[in-house]
Amino acid sequence: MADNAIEIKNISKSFGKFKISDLSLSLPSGCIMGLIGENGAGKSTLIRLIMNASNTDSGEISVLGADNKSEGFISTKDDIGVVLDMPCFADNLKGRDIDRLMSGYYSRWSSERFLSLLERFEVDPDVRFYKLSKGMKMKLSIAAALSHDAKLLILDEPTSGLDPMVRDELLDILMEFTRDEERSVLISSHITSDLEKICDYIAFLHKGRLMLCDEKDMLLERYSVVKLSGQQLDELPKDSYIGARKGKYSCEVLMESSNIPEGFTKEHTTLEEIILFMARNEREAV
Amino acid sequence: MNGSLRKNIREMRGVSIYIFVFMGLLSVLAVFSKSNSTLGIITIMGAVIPASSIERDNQRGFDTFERMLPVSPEQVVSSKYLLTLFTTLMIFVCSVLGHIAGVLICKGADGRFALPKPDEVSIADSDFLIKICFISLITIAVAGLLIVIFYRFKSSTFIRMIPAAVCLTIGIGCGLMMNDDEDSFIGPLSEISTVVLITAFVVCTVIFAASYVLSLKFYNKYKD
Repeated sequence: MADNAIEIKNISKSFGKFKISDLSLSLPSGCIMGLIGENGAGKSTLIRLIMNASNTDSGEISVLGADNKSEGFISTKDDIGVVLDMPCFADNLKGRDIDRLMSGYYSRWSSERFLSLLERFEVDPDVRFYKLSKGMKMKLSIAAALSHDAKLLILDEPTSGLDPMVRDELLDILMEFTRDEERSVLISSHITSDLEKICDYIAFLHKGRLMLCDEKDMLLERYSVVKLSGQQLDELPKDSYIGARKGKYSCEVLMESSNIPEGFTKEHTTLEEIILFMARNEREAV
Repeated sequence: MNGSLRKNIREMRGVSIYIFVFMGLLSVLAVFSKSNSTLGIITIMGAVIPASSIERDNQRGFDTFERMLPVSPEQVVSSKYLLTLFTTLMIFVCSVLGHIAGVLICKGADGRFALPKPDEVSIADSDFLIKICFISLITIAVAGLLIVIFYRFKSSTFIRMIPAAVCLTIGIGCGLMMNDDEDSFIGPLSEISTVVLITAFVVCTVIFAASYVLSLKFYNKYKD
């Protein structure tokens, strides 16, 4: 088993004005990594690059120990389950048809597992795809990704369009999935609270740049939000904090916990706050 | 059967059945009117099925998803070509069955309802068979060209118009070539000799094979 389920080294990719430059990250085996970023940050592009569905301009990517450009990567894909942000099966297919169809792609496809997941998600396997709601379509795609004994799941916005109950159930399934230490998950989402619940690692993409990639617990420990007055903010050196939010009566800054001056009270921060402060700081810097 | 081929056949099954029935009926009418000019539409129908399969995959993002599945580029691309051969074969069979049905109806009607007399029609009409073979070969070549265009340029509105125009032009051209009317616009081509048929077989097979090689190259090169 490879130490890292995904290993990306210095990849670059550009099309039009969009550019991913010199991006490197690793997803250790047995872990869940959350990929966060605003619309157009490059999350879906990165997933396409990882799966060799898009060509890189430079750099190397290895997935489950296999170079994603090698011929052997096709058989490695048998161990990878993928869910894209837009479920893309043909409208006239029923769940049962998709079962037969996917069994032609995956060597370890389990119809029994697929149909039981559909039952668990309350998706009727005899209803045509176009008649399903967006959430139901997503559930069907997730069931398909979980039905072939994958070692790595790559999920692009799987929780979008799902109600909180199903989202919670999906998160449980993902945690259950990674109980086996050989299994890993890369999940992109806008819903940072979901990622905070389940992820071991967080990667934050902003305009094609990797702003941070670290263990979630380390991040939450490393950064703190400090409340202070406008005057106190003016007195703080600008390089001592990562981002600031000015309110009517008070201000908040995101700082590294180790840099907080004496006399200030630090508050527990959330992943969402860290991301928002960093994104705001980047926008203001431009 | 690999997943790609299974998917293409399953998806196109619904639409294709209507097309096959339509082609059968068209062949019946061709016998009634004693003119094979309507068979030119085979080219349009036969070439549109595989091209529209690629177009649909592209529109709903299945082509990107399929690139992430354990299937080789050769399997994905060859499945479109096999779909072309399969649909052309089915259209050929339906046209022949339609022709047989048309001849049997004429024989049964025995000159009534303004239908051709029994001695004017024949099941073993070599002229019809040669023409249907010829037009099937043209269909395969046109489909090959359309598939290459789609794999190279994907599906912008402009690009979608080019295959449609190519398909329509060749379809109408084939229709005119099939016209048995002595006063027709392209009279000399109304009779297709065996030599022409063999030449068409060689040329169309080369175009189809070259198109496969190019499509495979474009599939790997133009992913975005």
